[in-house]
Amino acid sequence: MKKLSRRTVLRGAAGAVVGLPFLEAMLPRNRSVAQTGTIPKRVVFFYTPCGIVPETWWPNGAGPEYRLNEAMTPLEPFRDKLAIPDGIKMHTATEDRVAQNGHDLGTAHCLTARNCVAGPTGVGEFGHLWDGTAGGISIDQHIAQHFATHDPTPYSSLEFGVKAEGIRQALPSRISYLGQGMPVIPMNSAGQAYDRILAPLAGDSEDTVARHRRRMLVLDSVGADLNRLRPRLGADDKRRIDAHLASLESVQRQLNDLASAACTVPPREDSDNFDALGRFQMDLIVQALKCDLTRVCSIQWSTGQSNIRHTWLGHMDSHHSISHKNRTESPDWARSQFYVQVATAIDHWYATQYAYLLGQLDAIDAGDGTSLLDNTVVVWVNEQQRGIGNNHRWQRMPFVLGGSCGGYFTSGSVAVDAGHGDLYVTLMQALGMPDMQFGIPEYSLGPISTLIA
Amino acid sequence: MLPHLTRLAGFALIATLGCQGTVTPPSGRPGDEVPEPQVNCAEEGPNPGRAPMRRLTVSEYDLTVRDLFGDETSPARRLVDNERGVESADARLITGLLVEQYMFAAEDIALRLTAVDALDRLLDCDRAAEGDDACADRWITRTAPLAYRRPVSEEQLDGLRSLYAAGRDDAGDFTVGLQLVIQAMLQSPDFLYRVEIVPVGSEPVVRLDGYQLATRLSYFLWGTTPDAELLDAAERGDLRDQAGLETQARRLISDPRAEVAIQRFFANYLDLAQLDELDKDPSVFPDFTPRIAELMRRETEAFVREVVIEGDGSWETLLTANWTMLNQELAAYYGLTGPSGEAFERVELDPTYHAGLLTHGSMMATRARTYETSPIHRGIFVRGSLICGQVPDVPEGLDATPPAIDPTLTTRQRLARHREDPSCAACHRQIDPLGFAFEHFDGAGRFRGSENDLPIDATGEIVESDLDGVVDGVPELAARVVGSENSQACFSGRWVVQALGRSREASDTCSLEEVQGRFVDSGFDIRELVVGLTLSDSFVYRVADQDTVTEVGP
Repeated sequence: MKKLSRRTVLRGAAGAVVGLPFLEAMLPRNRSVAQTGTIPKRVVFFYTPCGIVPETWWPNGAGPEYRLNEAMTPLEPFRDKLAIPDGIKMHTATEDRVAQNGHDLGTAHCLTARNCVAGPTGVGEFGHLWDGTAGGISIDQHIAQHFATHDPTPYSSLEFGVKAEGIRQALPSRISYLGQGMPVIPMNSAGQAYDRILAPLAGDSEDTVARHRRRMLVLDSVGADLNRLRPRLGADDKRRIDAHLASLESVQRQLNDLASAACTVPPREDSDNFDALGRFQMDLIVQALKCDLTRVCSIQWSTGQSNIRHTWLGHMDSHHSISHKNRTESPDWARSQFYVQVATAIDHWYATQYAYLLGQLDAIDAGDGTSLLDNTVVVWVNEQQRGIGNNHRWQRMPFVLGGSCGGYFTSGSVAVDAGHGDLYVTLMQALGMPDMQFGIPEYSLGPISTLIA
Repeated sequence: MLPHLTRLAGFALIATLGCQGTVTPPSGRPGDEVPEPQVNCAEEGPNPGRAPMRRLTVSEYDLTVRDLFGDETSPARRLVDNERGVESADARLITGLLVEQYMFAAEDIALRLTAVDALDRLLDCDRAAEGDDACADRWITRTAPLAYRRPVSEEQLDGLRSLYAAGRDDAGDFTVGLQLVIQAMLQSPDFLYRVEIVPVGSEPVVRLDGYQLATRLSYFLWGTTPDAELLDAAERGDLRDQAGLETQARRLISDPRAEVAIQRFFANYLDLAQLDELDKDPSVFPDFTPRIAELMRRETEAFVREVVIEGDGSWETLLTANWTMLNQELAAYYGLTGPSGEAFERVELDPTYHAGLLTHGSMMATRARTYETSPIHRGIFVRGSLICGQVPDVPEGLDATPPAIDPTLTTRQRLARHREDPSCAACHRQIDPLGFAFEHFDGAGRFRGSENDLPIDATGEIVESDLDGVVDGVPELAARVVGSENSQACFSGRWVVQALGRSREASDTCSLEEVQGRFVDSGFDIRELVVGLTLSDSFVYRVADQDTVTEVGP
């Protein structure tokens, strides 16, 4: 009940700001605060791999008076805009009997809360499900589908990757799924992402207009070919053509929406460097949210079982390798203690990236004195905690909620006892969705009240 | 041939399906067996199974635009379509992002092909004499059948012609018209998919037409669009009978271009992609670097080339050869001498320990932990990947943390609990002995004479497979693998996914029976296996109404 009245209050507050200058030029021409009446809520999923070092990551103290730990000091400027739930369990990953590899489990479950499904090859070496898949739709896509129906933007969602590739196994590579066997592959090139999302907005030049007109001619021809082919195929292949037609139509719609949108866009940037590429991708997220091109974004840093070597921090081993180094069976105990420091440095680096994204969002005025960050929630999600012996565990998942989603979420270090599916139920409540369950029903009991302001 | 008959039909089922608690008797125990389908292949008509429409892979797209238009820029490398399992049509669903990227790729290619200095080469036409429109029209008529790998109807050609006119009029420039046509062709399902239309009113099972067979052959064996000779053969009707098909299959497999398909198969079969992400503990393996991992991949590729392309083509040689291909740098890593430069040369190895691919660094270093070997992962490789047996699941609640490092013991000794504790032994007896055979090769792929100054014990008693018996070291194990009907069937079955874009199904039983017969009779010549597969019912025929075929997967 409490959260319901809270939302009503917020709607009222947002309603009062109608007419204030909400940087209208930033919005697509056909949409504005004046028309929609409220400041839209947005959500970003920020995925990092390989767990964290518990003793240097988890905050000290409870409630709003909490103190950020060594690995989390970059978040100090936003400490009042963070909620850190302590006690979220990824039950579904712990209980899944289909997948065995810890990184398959963590990455496939972290946004789906559903059991993995094996492919024809079954379980292979290192317990990987080579051609397996997550068990169903992920929370980002579920939210995106809701917005696409109720309050559409040019893109129902945008997925960014920072070298979220390289691991060839399907499962530890992908967090976002439209459904079983349907991973949503992120854009790993900032330049390509720019060409796709922002270039069509770059001015009303004759070239941009002509390019759009000709693209539509070509896409119509492709659609005609698909429709000519469709009736001549069996059901199985018709399904492939239908998926292609649906994708084609969504692209046509996106291109038309972008052609009628207006938003000042920065110059194109790209990099092959993990650090710089991450910044550019985060800049694109900020642009896309600012221009209201989408309400749902995700950024996936590397993959589960990350093979990124954080050489700029002075370490030559991969993140995955470092994360397993301080194990009891490691040949050299003193060396493994050293690796705790190394792993903490990586956690600190990821916290710096997260803080950058929060800072960029916080610098944009939503129009009523609040910032874009205040009307957004940036969900920092990991594939796992790091448990005893530094093996994969999911009993105390290191989630962070940055931005309160319009005052919905509380702040501080919050003791909770719930599955991650219910964190997403709470998130959907914050976004005004009716869902009271997500993922495997037996682990989804309803919203987490202690997280609600 | 006869003994293969029922075995093949049920061979995916022979694996032991659970081994908790009790020591499992060899397969064939009563009550646990799924009945094997009884198939008499001599009496059955063709039963080709599912034939899902396949979208070009990244590599196929690149080679296809290279062969059609001479574009060697590998444009598809930018596509977000690099997922694992690329051979499986079911795993390769289209997405909105991919549709957009096909659009960008097609726009780039069209711009390059119609650039001022490229246009005349593209059109091959006297524009001054004949006029731009006539040249463009002729180009469309000539190119569409090549891009779509079949004759194109006047109706479809007219669509491309009017797109040309629309682009030309929109820009006042005929090259823009051409660009739009190129873009539309490269985004058309007729280009992006390998479409196999069965004429209305056909029999339930039909032989594919010549163009469809030419396309299957070419993408299977060359990974690209059919060449002129193959299209001519299709047009002449040569592919309507098995002799004509075999002539073309033999031409393709004997051509150097077949190496693309051969290497693609072995990269999947051995999962060489694991080398990309291989990581070793530098305190244990200080000499192992990503560079060494890359050289290990090249060793395996060079060895496959030397055997399958240049040599006797024998699968037995691949598994048992007492030589490999090394360059100076990799030989030095292994502690061997011989090669003096960058190039990979043949190097003889000690036959007491080495056996073909099985002891390659690429295999040994990937089937290992970061700081030691892993007899378990090696055993699982043999049982899972080489004989297609089922690997037992890890029991619920099991703490699978490896035993602690102990410098006074060998890895094998540290795994003693797997033998002594009956609850471990039930499963591990099926796995560990296969892996112990490899203990002369350390976790980073090097030969070792001892471990922790203790002698290596590479013996093991293999149970519950058709490799059963005591072996000592990899050469003895390799000989058993070569002689195993399960491993022969497993190997030929693995080609099905590359040939047909799906895993092996029950309907392939008779086709594979015949293919494996050829394979065995030829002394395990992989080229004969491949030719046999292209002549098999599963490859040559198609179910007309795919709706009646059971769907598998999402």
